[in-house]
Amino acid sequence: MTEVDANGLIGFRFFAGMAPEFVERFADAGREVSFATDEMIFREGDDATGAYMIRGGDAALEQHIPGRGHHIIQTVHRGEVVGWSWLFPPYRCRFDARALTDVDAIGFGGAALREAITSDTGFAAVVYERWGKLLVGRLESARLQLVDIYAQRD
Amino acid sequence: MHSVIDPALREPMAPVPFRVGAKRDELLDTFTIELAPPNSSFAFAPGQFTMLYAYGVGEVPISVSGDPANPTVVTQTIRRVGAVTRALGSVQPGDVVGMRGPFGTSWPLEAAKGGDVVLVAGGIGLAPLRPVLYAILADRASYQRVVLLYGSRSPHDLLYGGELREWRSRFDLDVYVTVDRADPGWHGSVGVVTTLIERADFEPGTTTAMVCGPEIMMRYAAETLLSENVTPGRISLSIERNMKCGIGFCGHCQYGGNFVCSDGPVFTYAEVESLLRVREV
Amino acid sequence: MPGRASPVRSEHFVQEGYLAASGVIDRAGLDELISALRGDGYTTIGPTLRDGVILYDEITGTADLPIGWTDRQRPGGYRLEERGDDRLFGFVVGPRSWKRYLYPERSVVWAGQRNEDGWHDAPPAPAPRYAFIGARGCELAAIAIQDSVFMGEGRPVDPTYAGRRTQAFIVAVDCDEPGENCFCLSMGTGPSAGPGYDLALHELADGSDVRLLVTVGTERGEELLHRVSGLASVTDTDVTQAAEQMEHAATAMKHALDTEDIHDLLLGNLTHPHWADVAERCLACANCTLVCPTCFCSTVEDDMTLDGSEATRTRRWDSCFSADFSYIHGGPIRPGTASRYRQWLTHKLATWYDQFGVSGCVGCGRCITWCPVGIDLTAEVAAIRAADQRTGTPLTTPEVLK
Repeated sequence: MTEVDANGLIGFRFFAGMAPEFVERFADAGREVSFATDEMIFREGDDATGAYMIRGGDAALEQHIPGRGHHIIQTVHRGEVVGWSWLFPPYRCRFDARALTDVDAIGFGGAALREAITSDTGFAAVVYERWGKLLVGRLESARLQLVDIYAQRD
Repeated sequence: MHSVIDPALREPMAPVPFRVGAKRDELLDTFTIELAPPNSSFAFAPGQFTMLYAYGVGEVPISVSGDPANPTVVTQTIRRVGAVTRALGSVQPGDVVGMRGPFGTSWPLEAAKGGDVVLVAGGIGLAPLRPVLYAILADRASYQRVVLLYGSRSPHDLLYGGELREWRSRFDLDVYVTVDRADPGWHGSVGVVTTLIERADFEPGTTTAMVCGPEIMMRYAAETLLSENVTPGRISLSIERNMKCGIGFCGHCQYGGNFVCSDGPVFTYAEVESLLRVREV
Repeated sequence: MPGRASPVRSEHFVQEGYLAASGVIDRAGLDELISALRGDGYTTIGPTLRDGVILYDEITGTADLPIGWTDRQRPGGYRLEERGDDRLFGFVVGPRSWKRYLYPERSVVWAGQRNEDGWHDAPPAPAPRYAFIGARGCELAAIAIQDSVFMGEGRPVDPTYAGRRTQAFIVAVDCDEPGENCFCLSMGTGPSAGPGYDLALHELADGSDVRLLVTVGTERGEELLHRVSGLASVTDTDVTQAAEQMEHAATAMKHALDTEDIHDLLLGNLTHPHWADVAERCLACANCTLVCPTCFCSTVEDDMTLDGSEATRTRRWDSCFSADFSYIHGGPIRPGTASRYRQWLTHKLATWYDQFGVSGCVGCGRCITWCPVGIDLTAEVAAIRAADQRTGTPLTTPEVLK
């Protein structure tokens, strides 16, 4: 795993408008990682190692349901971030994430991020703001999936 | 007596007979019929609809979903939801259906020229947008980047699958397809269609967006386009309401002060923003 | 919305027709007029007593008029009362309006026949010729409003309406005694009748025999008047008396609608809690839309003979209060009474301006009289006005419609 340069992050949406010092913090916590097709990025129940930003390829957030197999909830793609269980105890993954194609990503270490949050309140604000926005977007999408917007009733 | 009557003098509620040419099933509950206009000439602008008449049963408003450059065929994709659509669903090539129209406003193809175009379709909403794509591809140089974002409930609810694959293989078109829920054989995106908007690459300042699908989907898609900095006046939606006449007489399609049949069905977001937020209007 | 006329108060110009009266006729003279019309092939329709109300139906002469009768109206109430005189037109409006004849409750809009060549249009039925005897100012305004709906500029023409309307001969009459629910003055449609008539009558009430000032509105009105043998000349006293009656009528108006800023008031209060309040009372019975002379919503019923050789499309009156009026796949857009009442009221008093450049209400008061629970739209508007919830920012008020 290679270290990450801040310049390699600023082109991505997730980091748009972020103060350079905080991008640096993320870069410090980041490592280049890759996954082969069908490789599990994380599994439900694993210790949450951190978050991943997809740089190339597609991944799926899914659940394994006994008797039904994998069930994809949502797919994530280039520029999108997956993983939030590192934010709150017990820091354990609640869902599976699987590479649908070969995936090239930046992994941000959960422990390093948590340490940076504790020591730098400015960074903490940025982290909660970005993850807050991510959560809102995911929740809105999930709600729309739940509502079944294409449903017909005669 | 033969019905070669000047349309201006005819009763505007009188149907014109069209012969069914071809018919094919699209999805479990959706089918397409191709109709031959009586004098081989039918002109429409993308976004317009016709009142399709199953003789003796009733009429329904259906958006024209074929190629506006071809006047010899009227293509209508119909979902079976009630008595009339089911009656239309049982026609065979050679049968006759009635038609009045085309009626209504059209998608802003002219205004979109010179900039990016983003089409956001949900479910059967791809049908009223397909003529836009045909028109754009026939005049491709007039537009910059063209993006089609299409979402449906599941892989077997994706309309026009063959054409989708063709469009996806073009280099002058960005096509993203997603489903709300996957089945085991699906290897594409999963998630609601609005998630595609953030993923797509387009220049908001020059973009004309055209959104068509269930009203809830159009609301959320419009909100997402706005947060991507697309101008409210350059987002168009196609509103659907109950229609009994299609010509502004029956009063059923009123939406605020608009008659959806003549002031719509295509509206800009700016025109209907306040109405979209009021329940049961 | 596409460019529309901005809301204007009192859009209608009310002619004081009696000022230009060309003659005076008596009851026999009116009978001559009616006979002449019938001789010309018109079916003469006028007010007549039936089932405890004064309604419009075919009349053959003045004997069919409700002579010496008047109506007492109130929210949700109507009864007849004897006047103690012999006035021919001493009442206001009943449950029927002229729209029944110009825009019938049921009409075949298309019939087709199928043979081996395919479908062919059956010839349409010829339009009947009607003469309306005794159309009030509010009613002339209502007819003008329906003209703009069915034959208006930039809109398709409805042949059923157009055929009847262009042939209709209209004899108007002034109202010198407003009804309890009338508010034509607020809407600028009365109490004097005009414009829009072939002939206008003003019934002088000087206590003696029936005397009617007649004003000519059109050439064919003039032509008909010349056939009346007993046409007397108008005196200055007659005109003064008529003017005094109409001045008194204006001051005696018992009801009013404050139309100040009404378009923006209603459309800016779409989530006002008052709609839920009306919904507690409103039965969605559609009486108001049936009696309203301007309501035009319709539906179409399609039929076919069993052998599939003949298809018919029949238009019939519909109401925005009916449960499936707004039905699309998935369900009705307006499932509850609150949104349906709101639709009716905002269309009638607000969005009608956007669509046709005038108010949809002529102030005839029928909806107030014939509402089984006595809902008075002027009071509903006043309630919203009294607690106007418009603010600069959209939708800061809590959502009240379920």
